[in-house]
Amino acid sequence: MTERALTQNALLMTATNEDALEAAVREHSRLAYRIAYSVSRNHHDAEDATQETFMRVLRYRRKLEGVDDPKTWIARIAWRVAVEQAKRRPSVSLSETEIADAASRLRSGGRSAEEAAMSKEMAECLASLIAALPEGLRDAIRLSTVEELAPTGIAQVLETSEASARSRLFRARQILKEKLLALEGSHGTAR
Amino acid sequence: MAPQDRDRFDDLLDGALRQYGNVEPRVGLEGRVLANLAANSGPSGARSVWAWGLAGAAAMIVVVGMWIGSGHRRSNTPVVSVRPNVSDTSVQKTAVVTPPAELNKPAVRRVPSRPAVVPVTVAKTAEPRLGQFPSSRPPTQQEMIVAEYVEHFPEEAKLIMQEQQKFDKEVQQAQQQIENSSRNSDDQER
Repeated sequence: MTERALTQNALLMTATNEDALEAAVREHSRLAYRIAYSVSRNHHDAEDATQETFMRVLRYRRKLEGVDDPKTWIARIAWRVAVEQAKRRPSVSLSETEIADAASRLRSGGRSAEEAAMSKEMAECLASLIAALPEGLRDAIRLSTVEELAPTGIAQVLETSEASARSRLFRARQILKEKLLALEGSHGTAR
Repeated sequence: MAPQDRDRFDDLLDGALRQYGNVEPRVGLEGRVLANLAANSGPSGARSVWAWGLAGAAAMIVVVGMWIGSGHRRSNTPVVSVRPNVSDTSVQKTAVVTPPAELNKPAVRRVPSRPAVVPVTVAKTAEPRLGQFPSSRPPTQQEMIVAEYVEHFPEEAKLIMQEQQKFDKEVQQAQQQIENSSRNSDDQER
């Protein structure tokens, strides 16, 4: 365990006190929010999930003695909360036609790869493609977009091995690339 | 796919995924989370005590209500079998003065024993409740005079009662005779 993690753990453990909880909120609320947003793709739902995450931290703070890494612990709580929330609320994803339209708009502007990647069309297209992935691959790729989480952290959140997490990420990326290529091929040649 | 294309798609996907996860919460998220925690952490113990207290009070109210309701029903039960004729003032007087077993007989009407229907009709007719009878209202002047008379002249009062009973019996017998004779005349006509 790193020195930083030890410090955080000590802070949380000693408190039942409000300062440690406040420190945890200040340090990890952004992470919790991003994890929740990667699932819901909605700011309100992500904020609700963040609130619920720290409510659970507050509720179970006495169990913190056995926690090695508070960051991963909070990330896992945020992930569970977001997934539970997503199950309760129906997600809105693009249809096949809408994905194709988004891809054609993506291609039509004569933009560079970087510009295309930054565009709204690409974001819509990618969100729908990710939503269509098998569950294990989808979870891994969503968590990989949270910059605070390395593959080790993704594995811990998904409660799997690091090798498995890496494998899932690789396969998810392969599928996404193939689908993007197929979409581009169906609407014209790649630049 | 050409290696050049593969690289381009890798770049595209990397950029898109980076963009996908590049989101910032609205300003003040930490403050809102902390405020929510403060609102839910501090007085939770006191609130739970309040909640338990309120739940206990509500339960007691329900229990007391049920107990009163059941007692009320029990006190109403005799009214079902005997229904005094409230409109007759003479009955009211005798009911105050004498034991009701004998004197109430002419004034009461037996309700046919129909167990399923009777309680409903009793509830609707708003008769005096035996649990509260005689009612808490003060006795009328006539009732007080009768009571005073009975107190001072018990023997005479007893004689009057007996005479009244005899008179009632004679009236009943006369009514029966009239009824019988009318039936006979009807039969003869047929």
